[in-house]
Amino acid sequence: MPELLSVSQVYKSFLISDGMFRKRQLDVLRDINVIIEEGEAIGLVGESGSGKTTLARIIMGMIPADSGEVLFDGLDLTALSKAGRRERRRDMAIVYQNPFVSLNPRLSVLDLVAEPIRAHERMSRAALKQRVTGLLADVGLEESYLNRRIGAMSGGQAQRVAIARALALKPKLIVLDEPTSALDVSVQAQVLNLLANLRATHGYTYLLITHNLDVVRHMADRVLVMSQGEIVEHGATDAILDSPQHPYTQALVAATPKSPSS
Amino acid sequence: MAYIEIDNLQVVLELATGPLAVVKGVSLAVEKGEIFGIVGESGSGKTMTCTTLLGLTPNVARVSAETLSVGEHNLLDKNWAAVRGREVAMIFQDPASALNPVFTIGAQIDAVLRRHTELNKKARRARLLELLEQVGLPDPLRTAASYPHQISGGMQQRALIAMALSAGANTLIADEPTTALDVTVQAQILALLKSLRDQLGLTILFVSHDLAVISQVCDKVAVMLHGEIVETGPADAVLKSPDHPYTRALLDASPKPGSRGTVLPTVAAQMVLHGGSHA
Ligand SMILES: Nc1ncnc2c1ncn2[C@@H]1O[C@H](COP(=O)(O)OP(=O)(O)OP(=O)(O)O)[C@@H](O)[C@H]1O
Ligand SMILES: Nc1ncnc2c1ncn2[C@@H]1O[C@H](COP(=O)(O)OP(=O)(O)OP(=O)(O)O)[C@@H](O)[C@H]1O
Ligand SMILES: [Mg+2]
Ligand SMILES: [Mg+2]
Repeated sequence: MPELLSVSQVYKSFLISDGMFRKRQLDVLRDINVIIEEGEAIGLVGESGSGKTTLARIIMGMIPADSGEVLFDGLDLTALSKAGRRERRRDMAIVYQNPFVSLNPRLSVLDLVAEPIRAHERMSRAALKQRVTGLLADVGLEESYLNRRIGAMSGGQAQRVAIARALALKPKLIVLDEPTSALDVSVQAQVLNLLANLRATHGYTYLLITHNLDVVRHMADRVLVMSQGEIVEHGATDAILDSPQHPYTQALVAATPKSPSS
Repeated sequence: MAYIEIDNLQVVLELATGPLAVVKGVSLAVEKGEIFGIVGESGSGKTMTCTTLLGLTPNVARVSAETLSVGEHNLLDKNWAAVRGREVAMIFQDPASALNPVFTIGAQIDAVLRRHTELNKKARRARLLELLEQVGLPDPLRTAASYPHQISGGMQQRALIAMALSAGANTLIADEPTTALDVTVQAQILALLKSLRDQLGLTILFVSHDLAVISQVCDKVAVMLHGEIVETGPADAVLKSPDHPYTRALLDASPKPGSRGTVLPTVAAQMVLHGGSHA
């Protein structure tokens, strides 16, 4: 399979206040290398604060890396013209960790999901509404939510709007940052089934960031483990989770609560 | 009378499209020092039920109940100033919106300490750093000086937990408090909540989608579906041998080792399988 995403030698730091009125540099990502082939599902797990969301934002071209290179479909997004970048962007989508922050609270659900479609395709209002209704149905939301705003929805409902929006343009790469942590296990099952199904039928590629190792095991072919800004372990999912080598991965596996039914 | 007593709670939202009942006759009794879990469908009214205990339901909500009380406080009197912070504190489901973007984490927690404790400035600073340490933030000084957007999702969630604990309330409502945390930090937070219960007799209402977490920390559990409690009882019993088809369906829907490549059962499918109705 051809390479879809290649991240090499990426470094990132932020200038922060150390609490004593001085500034210092916080190294958030150190020498990150990731290759994702088309059609793969990769799990990214790791400590809270280890840099997963920062890496996702760099991959999406939302923030620049300090150094290193990110190639999507062989192209460096930061080197493209604005129009070229816009065209490439339709092939990548992200579901952010927090729907209430990432989605515009003034827009209706209809407009939120329609927005990316309108930016890239011309279609009639009726056709657009039908497409949005179909996307909402895929994530288990009824048509009656079309005119709601995010602020008037539950956490899990809002998260599903974010997922429907990300799927709207059938992107090649979907970065999912904790997509199901706000969902009850039944809706989670529905979303995971949908993602697996889309992958089987359209060959979608996923980078799935999650704290839930059962979800990683269910979805991912390979897994990357991050700790303190570095990838400390990577490999086939079952191999890593069955015999973790790095102390942090071992701690993760050991701390996973046992499901009550098993 | 139980410490938290909710009897026949109804919440109706007055929407432009007409009234919408989102909590339909919920009754719960939580004893002092108990950790009481609520699980259930997304949108079933868990958060709405919790916010009625603080008077923080949305403007469009009409709340009624036979009884709604926490400790000495009859919440139907709506004397919220006496309740919020001192009696009941809440860890909100969505940390990023619960934190104020224009103040540092330290300033926000200090404001709560100033309002609800007698501590002087120096003691407040010490308490602040102690709280941040207790919730497992690796660099309390840095976190205190950070604005919410400068810290990760899981760090925001821990900052919010520290803030909820800072008022020293008797009752804690924890709405999905560990969703953004990796399991090692989650284990630390759960241990902290248990120790606060053991040492201070904190009463905790614990909302979670994670059945494993519920079975680990909760004494009792209630299962919600469409605005109603469909099953309640000791957490072990309910989660080991559930009576209601919805609870059984939830247990089946969790991904498990060996489930990859299979279609996970969802509730609609399961309800039919178990002969229940999905009304
Ligand atoms: N804009 C910023 N300014 C300063 N520091 C930042 C900024 N954004 C992120 N950080 C810091 O970078 C580190 C990594 O954050 P990131 O959000 O990538 O973590 P994460 O792995 O996604 O964690 P979580 O699992 O909790 O979401 C954290 O220490 C955070 O405080
Ligand atoms: N301001 C509002 N206006 C209209 N409907 C609302 C409003 N707030 C919540 N709702 C609706 O009330 C119902 C109950 O919401 P609630 O937030 O209590 O659900 P929940 O059980 O906490 O779900 P989740 O697990 O997804 O967080 C949902 O169907 C939601 O869409
Ligand atoms: Mg993150
Ligand atoms: Mg909720």
